[in-house]
Amino acid sequence: MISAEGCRLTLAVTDSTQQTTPAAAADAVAVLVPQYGTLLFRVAHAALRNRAEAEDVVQETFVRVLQHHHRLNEVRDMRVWLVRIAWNLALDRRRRIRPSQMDDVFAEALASVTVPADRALAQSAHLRTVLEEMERLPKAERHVLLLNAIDEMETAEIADVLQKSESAVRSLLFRARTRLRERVERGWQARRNA
Amino acid sequence: MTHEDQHDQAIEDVLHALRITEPPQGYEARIHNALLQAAVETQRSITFNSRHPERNAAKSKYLLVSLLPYMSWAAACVVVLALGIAVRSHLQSTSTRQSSTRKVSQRNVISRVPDASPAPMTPVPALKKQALLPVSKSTQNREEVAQPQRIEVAIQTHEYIPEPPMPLTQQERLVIRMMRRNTAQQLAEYTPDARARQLHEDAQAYHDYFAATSLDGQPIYVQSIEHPQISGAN
Repeated sequence: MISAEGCRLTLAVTDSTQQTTPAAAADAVAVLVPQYGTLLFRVAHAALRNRAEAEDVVQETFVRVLQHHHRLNEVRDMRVWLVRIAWNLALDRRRRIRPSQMDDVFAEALASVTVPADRALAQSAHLRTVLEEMERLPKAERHVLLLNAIDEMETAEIADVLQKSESAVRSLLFRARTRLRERVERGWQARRNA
Repeated sequence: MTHEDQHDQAIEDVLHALRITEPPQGYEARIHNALLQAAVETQRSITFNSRHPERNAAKSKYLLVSLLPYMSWAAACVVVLALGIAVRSHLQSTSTRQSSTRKVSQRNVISRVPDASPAPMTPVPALKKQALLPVSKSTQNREEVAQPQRIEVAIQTHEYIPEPPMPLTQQERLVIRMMRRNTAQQLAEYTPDARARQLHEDAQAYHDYFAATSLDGQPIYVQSIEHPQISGAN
C-alpha cells in the first residue's frame, strides 16, 4: 500500500509491482488518482485553460506512471514528480492548442452572473485583458505565476518542478505580478482610448 | 475603487478561478479505464511475445535482413573513407619527409659557416631540431658552391640564425679599449715607426714645458730626450 508521510511518499507497493502483472500495477497506480488527480488537473488547466485538454493531460500522466511503475521506488517526492510530468505534458500540448483560443469562454464564465449584462460584458473584457497580458509575460515569470496560483503548491515545490531555486521563484513571482499589473493598466487604457 | 484596485481585483479573480477549478465529473473513472486499457495492452504484448517466441525471432530476423542492404552500403562507405584517409595521410607524410630533408641539408651547410655578422635572433624551432641530422658527401660538395648566396638568402629570410658571439677574454677587452682611443685611420697607420715618432714628440713636448718653467730659472730636465724623467728642483 501507499502511505503518505507529509509531502513524501513511501511506496511499499512498488516492490511488489515489479513482479506483479500489469493489471495489478494499474490498480496500484489508480490509487494515486484520487489523491493527486485534482491537483494535476488544476496544474494542467492553469497551463491550458481548457478542461478537456487538462483531463487528457491528467490521464496521460497516470499512463506514463504506469509505464514506469517499476521505477516508482526511486521517486523521492511523488507529488512533485507527478506535477512535473503533468506540467511538461501540458506545455507540450500548448504547442498544438493556444490557450488564448479558450480565453473568451473562460472570461465569460468568470464574469459575475448577478450583475447587469453591460457590466458583465465590461468585466469579461477586463478579465480577458488580464488573460492576454498573462500570456505575454516572459515564459519563466508566467510559469511561476500560474503554478503559484494553485493553492496546494508551495514555493519549494514550484522550485522543484521548475528546477529553480526558491529565491529565484520568489523573485520571478514578484516581477511577474508587477509586470502584469503594469501591462494590464496600459492595455486597459489603450482599449478604453480605442 | 480606483483603476489600480480594479486591475488588481481582475488579476486576483483570474488567479482565483484557476485555483478553484474542479475536475469534471467522472474523470477518475475515465482515468481508471485508461489505466486498465493500457495494462491490458501491455499484458497482451507480453503474452504475445511469450507465446510466440518464433515470431519474435522471425521479426528480428526480418529486421536484420531488411537492414542488411543499408549495412552493406554503410560498410562500403566506411571502407572507401578509410582508404581515402590512408592515401591522403601517406601523401602528406611523403611530402613532409622530402621537405624536411631539404631543409636539414640547407641548415647543416649554413651552420658550418663561421660567425661573420650578427643577425636578428628569431627563434625557428623546426630548423633547430633538425640541425644534427647527417648530410651526404655529394650534397655537401654541391651545396658549398652556392654557399654565399644561400647564406645571404637565409639571412634575409631569417632562416639562418648565427650562433651568438662568445664572451671576450680580459686581454681582448684591453686591446679593444686601447684601440678605441684613436680613429680608424690612425689605427690603420699604427706602425712601429709611427709609434716611435709619437713617443719622441711626446718627450720633446715634455722637455720643452718643464725646461721653460723651472722655479730658479734653471732647467730641471737634464736627461736625454729618449728617456724623459722628472728630477728634483735643486
